[in-house]
Amino acid sequence: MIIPIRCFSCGKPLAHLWQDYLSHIKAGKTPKKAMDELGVERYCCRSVFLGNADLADIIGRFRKG
Amino acid sequence: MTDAGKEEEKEAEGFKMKAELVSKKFTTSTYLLKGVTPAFINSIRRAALSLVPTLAIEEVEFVKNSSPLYDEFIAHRLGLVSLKTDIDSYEVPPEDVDPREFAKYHVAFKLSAKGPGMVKASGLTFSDPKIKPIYPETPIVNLLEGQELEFTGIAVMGLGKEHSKWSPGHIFYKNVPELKVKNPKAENASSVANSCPRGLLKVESGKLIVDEKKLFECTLCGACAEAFPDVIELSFKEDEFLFSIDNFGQLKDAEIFKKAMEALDSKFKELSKAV
Repeated sequence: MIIPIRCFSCGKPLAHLWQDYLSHIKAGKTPKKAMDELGVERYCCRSVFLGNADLADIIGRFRKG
Repeated sequence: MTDAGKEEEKEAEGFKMKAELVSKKFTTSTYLLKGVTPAFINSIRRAALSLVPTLAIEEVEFVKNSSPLYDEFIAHRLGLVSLKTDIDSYEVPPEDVDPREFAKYHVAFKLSAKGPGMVKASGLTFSDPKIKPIYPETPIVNLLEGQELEFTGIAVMGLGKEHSKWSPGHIFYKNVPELKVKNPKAENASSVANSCPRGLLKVESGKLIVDEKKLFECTLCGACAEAFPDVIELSFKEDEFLFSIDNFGQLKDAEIFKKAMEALDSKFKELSKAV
């Protein structure tokens, strides 16, 4: 949906790193390398990045129920 | 002297605690604590997680919201935004007091935005200019053409035991490893070196040695000593710990330490009065 503000498990703030993560990926880096460079170390936080599908802008075009 | 007697003498000398900064990576700082027990630092850890006060957004009132997300969804996201906390000017409201009544318990904020564009945490304006989001780039919601968002609300001082949004950081510790090579000239030196998943062991001019620079990276997994008990001896120091704080940013490391110990101290004082 949209990147969570914090890691679900440990509570580390993550959302501010999402755009940097995307630009690293765009530059051809692997997710592992991108997350290592952003200091996302624990696997709970890494799963938040790997599992996120950014659909908010698509859903935003439709009316809320 | 009996063992118990020695133990008492040791205690009479008092703890000789030492702390030094070992490493700082991104938001995580690691300190080497000497002369402490696991029970002691675990109580600091628990106090830091649940008893150190910080600011977090607690109530949001929406005026307009035609964004893709529901009111409660946005309110929840705002609650998780970490705020720079001025620990000296604010305090935690007692249970029976409305935090809106006194300025020392809360800080008001507002935001209004029109699409298109990303609403970021930097768009929040607080009534106290000292309070601001630590990560201004935090995305709240993306507004498309014609969508509007307007709300007001308050951030309240609180404790991590009520909700983890008020926790100042993530805290963990581990033992300091003691890794000894009993037989540095073992024939199978290279396979012993390869047995360590963290690469702590290396072979230099035919001798198996421990890479001292990497020693603190040891997780005490025991893979080396288990596979080659005649070459490697692995143990850990009883009274030394690597104490790490992954700081979420509201407070400084020293403030977290200090406030945690103050919280523990006041609990002990309360107990000693009650006994």
